[in-house]
Amino acid sequence: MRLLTHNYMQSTVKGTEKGYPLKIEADKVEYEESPFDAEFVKALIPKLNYEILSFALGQIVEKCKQDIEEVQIPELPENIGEDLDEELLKKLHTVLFDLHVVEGHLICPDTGRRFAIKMGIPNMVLHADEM
Amino acid sequence: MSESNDSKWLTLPPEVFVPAKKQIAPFKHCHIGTRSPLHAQALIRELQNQQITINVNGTQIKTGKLYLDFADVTQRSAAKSNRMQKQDPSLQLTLIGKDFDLPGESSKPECTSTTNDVVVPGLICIHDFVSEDEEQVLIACLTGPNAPWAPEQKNFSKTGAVKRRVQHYGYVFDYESADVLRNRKDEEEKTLCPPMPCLPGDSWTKEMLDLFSDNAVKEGSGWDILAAVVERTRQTEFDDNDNEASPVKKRYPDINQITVNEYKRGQGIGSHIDTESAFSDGLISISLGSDCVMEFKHKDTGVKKLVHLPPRSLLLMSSDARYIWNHQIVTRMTDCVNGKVLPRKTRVSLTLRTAITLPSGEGKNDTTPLAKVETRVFPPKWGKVSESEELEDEDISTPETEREHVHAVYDAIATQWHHTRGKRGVLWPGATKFLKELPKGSIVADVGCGDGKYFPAIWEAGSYVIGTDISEPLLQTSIGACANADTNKAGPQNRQVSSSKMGLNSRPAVAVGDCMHIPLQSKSCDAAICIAVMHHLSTSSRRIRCLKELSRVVKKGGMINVQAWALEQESNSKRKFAGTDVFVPFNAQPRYLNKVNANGEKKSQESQNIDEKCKGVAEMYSDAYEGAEYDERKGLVVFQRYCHMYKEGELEDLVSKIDSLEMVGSGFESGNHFVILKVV
Repeated sequence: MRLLTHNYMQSTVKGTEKGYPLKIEADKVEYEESPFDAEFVKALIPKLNYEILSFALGQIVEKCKQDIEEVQIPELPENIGEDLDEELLKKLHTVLFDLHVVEGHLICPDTGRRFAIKMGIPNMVLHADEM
Repeated sequence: MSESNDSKWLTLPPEVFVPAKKQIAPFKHCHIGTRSPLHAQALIRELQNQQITINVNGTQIKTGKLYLDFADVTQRSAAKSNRMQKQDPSLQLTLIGKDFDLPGESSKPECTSTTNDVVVPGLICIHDFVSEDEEQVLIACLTGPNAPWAPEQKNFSKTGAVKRRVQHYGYVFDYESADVLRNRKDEEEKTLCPPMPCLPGDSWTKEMLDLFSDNAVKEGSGWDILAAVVERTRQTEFDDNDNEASPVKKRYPDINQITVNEYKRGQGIGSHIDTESAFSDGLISISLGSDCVMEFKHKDTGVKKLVHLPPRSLLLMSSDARYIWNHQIVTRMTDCVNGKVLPRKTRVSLTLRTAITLPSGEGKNDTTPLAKVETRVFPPKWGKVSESEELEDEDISTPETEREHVHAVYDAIATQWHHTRGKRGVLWPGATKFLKELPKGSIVADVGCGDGKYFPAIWEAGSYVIGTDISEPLLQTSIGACANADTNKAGPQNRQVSSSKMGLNSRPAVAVGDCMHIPLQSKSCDAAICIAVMHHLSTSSRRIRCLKELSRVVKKGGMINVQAWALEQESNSKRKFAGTDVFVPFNAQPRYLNKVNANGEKKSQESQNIDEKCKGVAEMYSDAYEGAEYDERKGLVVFQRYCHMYKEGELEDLVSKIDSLEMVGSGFESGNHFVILKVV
């Protein structure tokens, strides 16, 4: 699960108000380099909830530093403006596309319901009594 | 094979019977007498597809490749073999080093022609009483997802449970008491079988009935056809062959009970006369789906008559045929009709009867037909009919039908689904066009993404896709982690993407999620697609909920593309759907169902072993899954997928119920209806 994906996910358990953002408990993270496409990153930025992206990175950064040796985990600025230089775009690319939470949990902020992530796939299916 | 040849039962190999006339000329069929199903199965294992040399009147003849099939022992002979075992427990057969069951009776089908001269008074068979179209829709409906099978515990007879599946309409026929349950009491579930489907209004002429039925075929409404067939039967005037001197026409306008029996290949029914006090004269049996030979036996003289019942025929048993002749269907795989061996298939029979009151006084004939219990609420259901349809409409919990016939099936067949469908990668042109036209950098929700067939099209269009699906195994195939993948590479090898999209393809964004609760934030996506998903939702409340969820996760102004199977298929399509709610079979190859055959090269030496294991897995699956069957001859497990076929305009009607959705386009392509929606 990429942090880009996390940016759009929410819990739908009965009793949640927003179910967003989901907390992340990462047990295993991986890095996989992907082709850098500046235009694609630029197109995605306005669609993102940047605050939540920073929040998500904060949740996994320690685990990333432990598990990932190939690259230095980028630090994101507090805010981003209109013009983004190549360096920042590359940082964003790494955070959005190349970091993967492979094992762990997503946690509903309202109810504390834990959703398991296995093989990079979060399981968001509710039990009958949670609907 | 005569009884005096008992000792011969121990001589093996088994006897081969060649039809007398064909002893010189080449022959296609011969009968091999075996002594038990186990013996027969062993023979099939040994000899299937083999060539053997047999001795015909002293001449050695080498056969072609054998195709062997067997029929089970009859109930009578099974009872006999039980008796024999008691008398002589030492009786044991050995074939090819294996132990076998006790001998049974030969199951060679007796040809109908042997009883051509026997006349059973009151027996009338009308061919093509039901048309082929009607038959197809009726079978789909009566064996489909909404068929009201009698709960198993109710199917007891004096000799044990009735194995075949049955449905009762109007009144329950109780196998335990061999009587009809006359009182439909609210407090007693067991008596509350579904009412009989009926026609809207009265005074139906034959022409009106035919027109109504034609239309019901087009609409895929099996319940309407059932109602029409019952009415057609009630109106039919049967010639009284009993009384040639003064011919009278017989009619059965009071028919008030239907029993539907499903006879799987090889199943039959024991010899019986229907309970006299339960039903009046005139029993009607309509055959669907398969030929069958019914055996009549005079209860005093033992004279036998074999009657061929072709599919779509109606058989009337009246007077003598109803009261003094026993009838049965012998349990076996084939029948012999005028010298021709006809393999049996699954036969669905409709038994139409007139249930009667108990005699009130001395007279045996002072009975009257019970009142008709009928309905126009389809599908007819067991139990009290709920008055509050409104309440049910709110319910979006997953029905058992979907759990067993959608979710469980896709979980089981995920690997094969991905390898066959995914590899072919056939995309609906309309959906691809929709995706291409989205602005670059769009976030697209693919709700019910399956193995991610549309992902490459979305990436290449410059968008980012998040796929959700209820089936975790299918999602695993979408990321290339399927258990049986014949690749070790990360990412599924079948998806072709350009080099700039390799990163996305390597780890697609997917989450296990229910389309009733899409795990995505409200108003977060630029667009959504929901392709080949809604036809697996079994209630209209769930269909509406799915559309509402799609509109929830998409931003205002965003677009949604929904496609689902259409009832109306092109005339050249190999698919034909005979109803709005049907089971669509999926033929699963056992090797995809387990992990044994992960490496294709392992074949040869181990193949025997693998086949055995596959067979084991296949049997396990067919036991564990509702409605799944193991086809031993083809080596396939046939799963039944629930599907709702959308009529033209149906998706549009659902959309019109949701304020936040505006229709911007709709159409039909490749057997699917689609709508293009805008969130407003």
